[in-house]
Amino acid sequence: MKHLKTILALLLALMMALGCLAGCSGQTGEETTTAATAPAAVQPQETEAEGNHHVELLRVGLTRANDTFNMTTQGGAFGLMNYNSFCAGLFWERDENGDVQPGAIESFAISDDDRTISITIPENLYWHDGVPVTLDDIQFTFEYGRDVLLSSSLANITEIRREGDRTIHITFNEQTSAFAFVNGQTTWAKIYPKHIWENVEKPSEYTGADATIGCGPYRFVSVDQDAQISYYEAVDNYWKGELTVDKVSVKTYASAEALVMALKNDEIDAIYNYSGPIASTLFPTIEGDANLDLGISPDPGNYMLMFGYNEAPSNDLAFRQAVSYAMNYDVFGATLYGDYYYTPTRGVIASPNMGYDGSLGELTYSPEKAREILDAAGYLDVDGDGYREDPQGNAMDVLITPQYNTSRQELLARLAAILADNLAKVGIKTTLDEESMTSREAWSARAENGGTYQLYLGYCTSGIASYIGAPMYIVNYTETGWWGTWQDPEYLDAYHAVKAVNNFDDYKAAMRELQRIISEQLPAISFAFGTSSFPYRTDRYEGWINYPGWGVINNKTWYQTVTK
Amino acid sequence: MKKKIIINRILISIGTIFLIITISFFLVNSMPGDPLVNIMGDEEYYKVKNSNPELLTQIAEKYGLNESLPQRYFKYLKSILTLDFGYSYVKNQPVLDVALYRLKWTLLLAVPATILSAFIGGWLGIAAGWNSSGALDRIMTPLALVMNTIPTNCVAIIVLAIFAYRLRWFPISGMTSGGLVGWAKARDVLWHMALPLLVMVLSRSCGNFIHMKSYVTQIKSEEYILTATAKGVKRSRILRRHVLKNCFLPYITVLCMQFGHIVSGSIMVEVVFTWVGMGDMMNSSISSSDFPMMQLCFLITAVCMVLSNIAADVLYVVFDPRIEEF
Amino acid sequence: MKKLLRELRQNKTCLIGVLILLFFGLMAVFAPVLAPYDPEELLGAPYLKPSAQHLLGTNDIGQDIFSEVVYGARVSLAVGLISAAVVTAVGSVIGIVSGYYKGAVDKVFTVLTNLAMTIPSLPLTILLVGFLKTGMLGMVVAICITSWASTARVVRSKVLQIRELPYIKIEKILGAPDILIMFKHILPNITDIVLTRCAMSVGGAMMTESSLSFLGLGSFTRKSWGNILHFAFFRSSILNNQWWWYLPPILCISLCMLGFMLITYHGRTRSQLIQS
Repeated sequence: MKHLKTILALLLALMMALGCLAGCSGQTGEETTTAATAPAAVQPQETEAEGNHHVELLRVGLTRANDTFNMTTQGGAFGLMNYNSFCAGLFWERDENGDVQPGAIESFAISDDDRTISITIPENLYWHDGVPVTLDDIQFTFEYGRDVLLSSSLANITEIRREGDRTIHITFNEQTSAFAFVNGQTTWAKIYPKHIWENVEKPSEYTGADATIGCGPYRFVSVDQDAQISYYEAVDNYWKGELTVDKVSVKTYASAEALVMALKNDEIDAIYNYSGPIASTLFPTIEGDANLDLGISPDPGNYMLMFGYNEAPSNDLAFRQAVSYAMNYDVFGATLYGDYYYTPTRGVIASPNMGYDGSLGELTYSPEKAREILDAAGYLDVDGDGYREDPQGNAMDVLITPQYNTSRQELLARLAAILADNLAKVGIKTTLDEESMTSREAWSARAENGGTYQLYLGYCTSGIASYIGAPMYIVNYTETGWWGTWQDPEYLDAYHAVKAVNNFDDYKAAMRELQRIISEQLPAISFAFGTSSFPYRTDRYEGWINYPGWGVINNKTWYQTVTK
Repeated sequence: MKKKIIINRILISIGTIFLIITISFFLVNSMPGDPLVNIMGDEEYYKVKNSNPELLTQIAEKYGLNESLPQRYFKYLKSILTLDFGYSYVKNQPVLDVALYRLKWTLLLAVPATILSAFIGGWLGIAAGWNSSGALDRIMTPLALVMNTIPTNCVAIIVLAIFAYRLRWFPISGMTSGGLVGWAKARDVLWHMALPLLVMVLSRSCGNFIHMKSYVTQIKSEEYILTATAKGVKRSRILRRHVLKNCFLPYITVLCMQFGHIVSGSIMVEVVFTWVGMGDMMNSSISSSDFPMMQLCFLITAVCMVLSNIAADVLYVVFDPRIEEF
Repeated sequence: MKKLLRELRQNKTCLIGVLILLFFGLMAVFAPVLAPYDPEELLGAPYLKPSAQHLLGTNDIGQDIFSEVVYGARVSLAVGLISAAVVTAVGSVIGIVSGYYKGAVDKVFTVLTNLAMTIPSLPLTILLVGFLKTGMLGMVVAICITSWASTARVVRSKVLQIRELPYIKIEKILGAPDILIMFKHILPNITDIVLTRCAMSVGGAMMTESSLSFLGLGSFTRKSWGNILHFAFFRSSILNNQWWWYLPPILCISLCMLGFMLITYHGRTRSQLIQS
């Protein structure tokens, strides 16, 4: 009994020690020596000093972990924030209209033959450690990206030529269009400091404190691993203009629910998540709060149904048309976007995109018409089991293959269930391809390298949508390495035409042609066009600019957001 | 004699760990799926696959993915000896760093939960078993039985819904608010871990209660207890001298087994409360084909299991006088 | 049969357990009669609150939750029963064989059993499910691989006792074939234990199934209770306070587990009585 008491006391002491350990580990969690500057208070205090309306601390919430702080990767919350010209100096950034603008560079130009990009850097641009940014850094960035980071898009560089101290010309061979390159690299391509990276051989594994140094408007200050918050402060006298946000904290939350609750509880000011808007199931919570704005904007990306051209009946135009009438776009829209959806047009490209053609008709829901088309095309229920047979009279069981994606699994499963119900109502029997949904290998065997799927549920991310867009997914895989199955010559020509343009007018015309072909042949159908929601608080700050499909945390936030 | 048994047990355990390492290595490395997709990200992977397939082999080489299975196996064994477990494919950090960090948080949750429930469940079990069909027994036994049948994730969901979402007494996820140091932070962490701890203590205490109660009832009906009672020994003395002493041993074994599950046992609670611990990491490393991470997770859980088995055996040998006879 | 009924009447806990299981068993068998709708069919408005038309409302895409739960009994029970049958069969055979032969066979099986008990089962099951591709079959196989060991261990220790009984020894001396002794004479003596273990395995398998489905590793085509809970949890039913969505599957899983638990509780006390 005596022993028991001793053991009990010891165990209690151990427990308390563990509790303290958690408390004290905070100091060791700080990564830099400047930990003292980390804001101690969670609540921001507004100062109206000097009559400015600076935001003292902007609190951003996201779901990507605060674990990687490395300029050369896109990993972690740090990598995600850098899409907004944050710590990183980007070559090119996109404005709210989707147009490409120079980022941390003064200007750029594309040669008439579409082979050469000319970049001019500003005079007073400095790295966060005070070293000036020079052409050495620009040249280094392209060479390092090609030789060490093994970036596929830089493999075709043939010449790098300097002109004076501030201009450099990058020339590609015929395989790369400079215009397409710039569009493809916008929001990702960063300038790397030569003096830091030139001796680093495994950049992605480099964890030195200077791995965060960039030439963007904000400097990394510290990170609290336990709380999953990182802190940043504005660079003094940044060359691009006055920064109205003095400090920024970026906090990771584990789920979208947690993000929304944090926003409601005034723990964060805005939600940011690349290509991951808040699900419509969370809207009711946000809408009920006067201090919150849903941050609705048109979504450039969209979910779509693709038809497999290597299999019957999905290679039959009549079947595809019937499916397009059988789909209840209201249910798809409500499931994807809550109240904020609208009926998709036949061109697969969503309306916020530059290449969108508004003149194409909307898709309509009409089960009667679907049945008529199926009847006329010979898909009849011969054996009387309630389901149609194919024109030859063979039983038909159409496979629905959702894309393999662990984070969108629930939503894709829901879309598949709706589609199955819609098709059953016009007499088409379907089966869910569950293996592809839960195993990448099974999915890969089904979808890649000339897929054998019949109906494929996929999506176009807002990143892809910003340039080549949804038509890329449809085209035969030999063109893209993705999972398209269509090799119609007319479509291929139109697709190549988009890749060959070197200005936005030609781009729009080429995209219009692509959409015309898609609307006639229906290789794919959008489930719904909708909105994306990146909610933010409205009670303290104003001047937010909501980028379509991106949200209020973007490359203009740092110069525009002010206190009320 | 005792020493020999203990050494024997330890040798067996080392063998077991080796077997587990081997099995988990081959299981993990023959998992379906191309880790390159996760390493490079979807969009870059397909771009490269189309434009520059040799680049894929180069990248695979960089991560040691194109070596043969036996080659990788021996490399892995060597790496275990040098405690160099490689880099995570997804997180770009040494796996060991990530795992140790996660382990710290899992232990912070699981150790107090195990200890608290050991005492609560044990104490209630003794009381209920000693005074069977008393008030405590009549309330606790059905309660414990019912609690034992509700899956942990379900208990967690209900607790989360009531205390975090409805009443808003506790945070819904996360481990600390940030910007705090010292005692303030310790308090903040305690506040964050209150709900997951509650769920774990609740479900484990009930299990322990049932175990302890059955030991006490069993021993109570042994002849020597009856004899002692007949001889007029005080009940409290019987409880202390005979019953507790004999219950202690099997109960300790049960507790040791619980410590073995300490790392893997909190997966469900961690997922529901998004507690960033080992369980959560195990779950996510499987879905993202992060082989080095998966292997280390398995290694750590297996070592925990084996260590606690040894502990149970050793305690048995040390405390049980009958073992001498072997 | 009469004996069984009498015993049931005497033992209230067991009776309750049997009644609970009977309830769910009937629910599974008569699902098409009991459920007002097809659980796969979209009925229009999503997120309806409970009403006379939809007893438990509708889910995020407008399927009737009550019908989902009723049909869910089929899937959950089937997974539990099938896995338990396999687990018990495998475990018992291994237990009997290793207990009966002793010696080298026993050594090998004991090492195997110990190993299987040492490897943490939930992580291994998760890994195996990823390995075997998901769907019901993969899940059943994974559950079987990870949970036969404790049955084998219990059966073995019992067989070790029984094989020393005089009449078994006599059979052996008379030269009866081993198979006959094992399955004709030893097995009937351990039915109590085997059945108890079987009931425990059903509970265990159902628990594992619901955990895996909850983690999203289950089947997407077959709606088990764990699967309903998965969608409820990951489609924000808790945030939106839709208790009629997430609570019913929890209740069903728990009640069903309770049923099996009460039976095993009874079984265990009975085998304890036999022992003493």
